[in-house]
Amino acid sequence: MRILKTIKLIWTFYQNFLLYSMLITISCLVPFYNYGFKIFTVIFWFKIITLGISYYFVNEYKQREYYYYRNLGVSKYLLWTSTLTFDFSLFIFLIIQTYQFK
Amino acid sequence: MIHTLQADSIRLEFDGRIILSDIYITCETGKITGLLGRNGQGKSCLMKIIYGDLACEKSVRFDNVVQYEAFKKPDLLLYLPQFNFIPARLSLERIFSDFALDYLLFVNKFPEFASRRRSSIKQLSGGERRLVELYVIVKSKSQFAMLDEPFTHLNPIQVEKVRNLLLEEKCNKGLLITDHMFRHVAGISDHLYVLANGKTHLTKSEKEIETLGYARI
Repeated sequence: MRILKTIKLIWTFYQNFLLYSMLITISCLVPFYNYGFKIFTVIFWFKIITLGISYYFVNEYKQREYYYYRNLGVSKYLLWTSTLTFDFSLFIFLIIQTYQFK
Repeated sequence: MIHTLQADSIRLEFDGRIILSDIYITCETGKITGLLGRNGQGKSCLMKIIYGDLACEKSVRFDNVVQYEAFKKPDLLLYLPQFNFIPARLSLERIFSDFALDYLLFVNKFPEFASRRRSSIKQLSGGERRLVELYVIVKSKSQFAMLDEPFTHLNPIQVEKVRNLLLEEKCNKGLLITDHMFRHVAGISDHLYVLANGKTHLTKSEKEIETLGYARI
């Protein structure tokens, strides 16, 4: 029950940059589909840098909300490690799927 | 069993200017501790230090056990910051579910929220929003709660209800409160500290509040 509640809170936090991040991922998949691994290094770093930008802006504009999660026992560290790990894993998964589909 | 929260040996300085230097504050379950002080004296900083949010030289102890990052233990300490902290898009239903609180009990105390259950918190007025934030912190299970300006944005009727809520809830936890509506704070506090020139002063009479330069009585 506690784990489900934590996942729900992390998901709520992730919604802060979910749409933006999905758009970035899709915009990476299109050139990857067309050019394959020749362009992988570029889109890999593009994704990393945009995740860094997400981190900066959420930290800048949503930092007050951390108190909500903290008061519910979810630390800033947990919020970021779980959302960034999930987001990047999804990116890699979709890259693999695109490669196989191609 | 009575639990205690103690903070001392705190030293905070910004750009060489000493903000806090001689602090001793103690809070017990079953009691309300008030903290008064003029703007810029470091009340909010002190709360952030106790919460573990602001790093500096300090000793913060719960039942004599040192806790550097109390924010990691919401069963020990909850914190109401002076600004709105609940994500704006969340509904009241969701917020009460997250804090495992019964919405109907809230409506019994504040009937004006009866039809707002599905409203998002951003749809509420400033006072209503503050009331929800205050209620979830005060009513959630924890040994202590720190409230930074709990009366901000509240109308006089709400202030009266919040005073009663705090007096009721002190049976379940220790409360540390700071607010500029000092008569309300002084009226419900069992112990009252004034923070002046980086030091905490435990006051015994209203006259001392004046002597310490916080307010004219």
